[in-house]
Amino acid sequence: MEHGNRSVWRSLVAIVTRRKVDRDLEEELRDHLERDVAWRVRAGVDPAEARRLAMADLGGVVRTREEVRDVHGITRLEDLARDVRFAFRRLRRDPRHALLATLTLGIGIGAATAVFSAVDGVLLKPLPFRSPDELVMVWHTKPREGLERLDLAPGTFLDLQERARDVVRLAASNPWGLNFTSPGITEHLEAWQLTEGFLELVGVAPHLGRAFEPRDFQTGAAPVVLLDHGFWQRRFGGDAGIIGRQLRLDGNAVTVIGVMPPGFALPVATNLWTPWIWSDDQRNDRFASYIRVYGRLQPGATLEGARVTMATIAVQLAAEHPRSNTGVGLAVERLEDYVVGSRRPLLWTLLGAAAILVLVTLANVGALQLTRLGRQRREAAVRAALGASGSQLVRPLVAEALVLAALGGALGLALGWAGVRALLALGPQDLPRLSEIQVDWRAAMAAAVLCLLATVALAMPSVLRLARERASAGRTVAGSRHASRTRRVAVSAQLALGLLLLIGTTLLVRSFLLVLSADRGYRTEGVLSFTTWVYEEYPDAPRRLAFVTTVFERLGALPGVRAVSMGSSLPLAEGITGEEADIIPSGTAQVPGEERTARGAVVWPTYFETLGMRLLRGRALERTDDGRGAMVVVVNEAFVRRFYPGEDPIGRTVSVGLMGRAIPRTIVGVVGDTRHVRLDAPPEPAVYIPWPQMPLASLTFVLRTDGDPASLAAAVTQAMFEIDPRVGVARVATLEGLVDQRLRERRFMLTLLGAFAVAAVAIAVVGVFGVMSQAVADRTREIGVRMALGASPGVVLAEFLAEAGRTTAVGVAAGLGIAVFATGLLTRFLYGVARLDAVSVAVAVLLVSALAALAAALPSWRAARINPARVLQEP
Amino acid sequence: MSDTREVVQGTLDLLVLASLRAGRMHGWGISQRIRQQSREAVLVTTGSLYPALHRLEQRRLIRAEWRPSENNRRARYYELTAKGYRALGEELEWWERFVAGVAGVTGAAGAATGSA
Repeated sequence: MEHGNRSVWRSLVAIVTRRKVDRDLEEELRDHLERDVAWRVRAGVDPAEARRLAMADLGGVVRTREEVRDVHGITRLEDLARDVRFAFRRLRRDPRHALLATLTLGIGIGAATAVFSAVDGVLLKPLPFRSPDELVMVWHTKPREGLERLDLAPGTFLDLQERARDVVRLAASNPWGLNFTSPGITEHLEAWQLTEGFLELVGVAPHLGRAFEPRDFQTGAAPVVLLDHGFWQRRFGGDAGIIGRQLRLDGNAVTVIGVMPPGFALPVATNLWTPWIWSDDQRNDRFASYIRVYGRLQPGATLEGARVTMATIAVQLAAEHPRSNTGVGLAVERLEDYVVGSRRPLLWTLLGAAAILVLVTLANVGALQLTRLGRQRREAAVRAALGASGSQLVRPLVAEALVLAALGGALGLALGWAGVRALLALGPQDLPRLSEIQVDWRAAMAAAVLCLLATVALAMPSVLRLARERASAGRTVAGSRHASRTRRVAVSAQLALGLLLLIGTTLLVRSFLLVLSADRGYRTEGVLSFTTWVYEEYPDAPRRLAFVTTVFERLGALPGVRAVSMGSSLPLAEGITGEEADIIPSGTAQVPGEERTARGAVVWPTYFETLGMRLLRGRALERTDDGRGAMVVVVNEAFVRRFYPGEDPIGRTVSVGLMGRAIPRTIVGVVGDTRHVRLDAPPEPAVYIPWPQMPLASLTFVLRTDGDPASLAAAVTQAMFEIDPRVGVARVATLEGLVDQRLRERRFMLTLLGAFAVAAVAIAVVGVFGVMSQAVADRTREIGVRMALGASPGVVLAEFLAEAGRTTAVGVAAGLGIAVFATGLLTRFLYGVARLDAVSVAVAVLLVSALAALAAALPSWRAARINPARVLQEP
Repeated sequence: MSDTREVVQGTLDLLVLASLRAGRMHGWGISQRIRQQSREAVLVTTGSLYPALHRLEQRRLIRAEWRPSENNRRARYYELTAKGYRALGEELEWWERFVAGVAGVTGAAGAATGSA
């Protein structure tokens, strides 16, 4: 018996760890046992029998130990591990449930993780500069004309740098372009010149090499350049040996001194940065607005303080330089607001949509778990009868929820990672900070938080239900009714939220189709374009004309090219969609404060024909409209509506002030409106001036081609190099590509919201199926009895369909109710449809109702096919 | 032994506290005392006694101490604290009202304090 005791004690010892509570209890219980045995032996019991009796009396040592532990508030990892193992076993017995819950959670968490990563990368993470909240931008404003965020004039910048010094340190960048010649090709590269101290001000050091130093800004200094990280990767394969090498830029040998870190894109993503060495003309220029100004608030200074200072300086400057600065204000804003401000609505809306999807998945898994608990009620009852305590009953449920949440979370993280890839591929290329989007620890944290939420959602119904059943032991029928009501509410909620997302999607689809089908006023297929600047290479009109003519001849001779034309502007091409022209119809005077402008372009006579624009009245431009002929202009319909409503404009004279020179011109023709700046904004007034009458140096050539225009790009750049290797070719693009880019944001939002809507509706429909199947299962016996008493299958079918109909109706009504308010958030993304557009709403409601009806039909049909005889024979 | 019942819920603490009025005692002693004093009518299982002891100790109604015991080992001895004495008074008061109440309902002649 000694041996038997040992093994009992060993097993006692084995389950007891080194924890003091356990050790003490072990000793206490051992003492108890010894005393009990001794007492029984004293009373005359055989020692072996005495020990057996004492052991039996001691009872469940394990349970005693656990309860004592509970008293001391000890929960232990090994208990958790055991619960988790148990949960896995239970879930393996119900793989359908495990799979459904994991998938649903995975979809919700994945969507949320992907969108959170985007929002985090763009909006939440601080900008990659030193103390980014101190960084500001300074703009010109023209309040009278409602113009904001105008670039500064260089002369004004120097004044500000001096006068606002106590509040804010300033630095500026100047848009620049350089012709980069390498063997066989001359490219025009966009670049920015930076003032001395610019990089120190924002606090960014080069990734490789050195930053600009004061000596680089001296007049006559050896020219140096910093490369953009992406440009360095693309053009030099990321070769670190580039530092110290010389590039041929604008015909000069310029030394590469460094490569900027990835993601550095000030003022915008570009190729090169060079030191800005000021000319005297620039110092005194207070008229031309073209430089981008950055500032860092001095220690202790506030944004408000900077605004007040700038406003004061603006008043001073207006007094000192009335010709240039009257009516010109100065505005200050945080750099962050400028960089990401315009994208906030898009990202927050998507985050909201992801949150809705998460709610749907949580409601769904909650309902699933409730159904599962219904099936497990007997098991729980048995465990309770065997003396399991409250915490012992709840813990396995929580562990099960934890396991499901962890599985769903893992799947979600994987889906989120894939989702981020998709976002990067799909997202608008001009989305700021695109390169900073990644699934990192913050996204993983977000997923973990969602997992916790999911755990709560999974465990809550079970725990609440357990509590209720303990409180009202025996009244399980009431409990079951309550549970089925809760499930129906959960399904209604899912339908409501799914409908909400679907309404948003149909609204966006309608908008997208309307934007797509809107008459653009020009042909997009088969058009290739590129831009050159020949300011220095061809300084006067005759030489420019000769160059342009040569280009027409050479490019027109390329196989596949049907027509070549040229203009100063191209539809949808960022930055060259035309300059603002001041318009004064003859016989009227400019009224101060009244904005009379049109978009002005200088075009070759064949421009309209090549782009497929319609001539509506009068004549198009002709080769004879040159410097020797009368000054003429062609206008568009919007121009006529704005300046000559109800009149015939042909033959009227209008003063057109484009780039400073206001010249009276005779209107000779009217062309159709074009979606020139945006696809989704109404056309604005426009004037077209014949290029020979205003031979600008910025030339955008357009080619109409047979077949795919992009395939001609290489031949075109090569031909241009052969014509003149000094002239750089930039912005080689197809018009279809430009349209595509303009649609990108819409397509992006539509795809994402659509995916969320499909997922949410699918989950909700599966929920309808689940709740109806459960209802039929719960009532099988009752239906059997009623059918035995004469109820027809049709009545039963109708009854279940009506029940599903009620659940759906509640969901749809709730969804519509929320939509009335929530679609307001979408307004800015809509085009041509009201935010409660009847067609879009009706399509969404019909789709959700039809799918819900379909999901309810199968279980209802099964109910109608119940065989009363068989059901009633079952025990 | 069919007359032996497990303790009525809520009375275990009272029984433990009342037993400890007799002085310092270890767990087994307490269970023996309850068994004897109740003339074997009340059974306190180990599974409920020890959690109760630890609970009362946590509430500082009793105090525990390891002391050497007669068999050359050590045993964990419990005794009432001042707070425990006060709690015992309240528990007893409650118990008397409870018994009187039950007696009132059942009309049993054997109720200790008669009808209320």
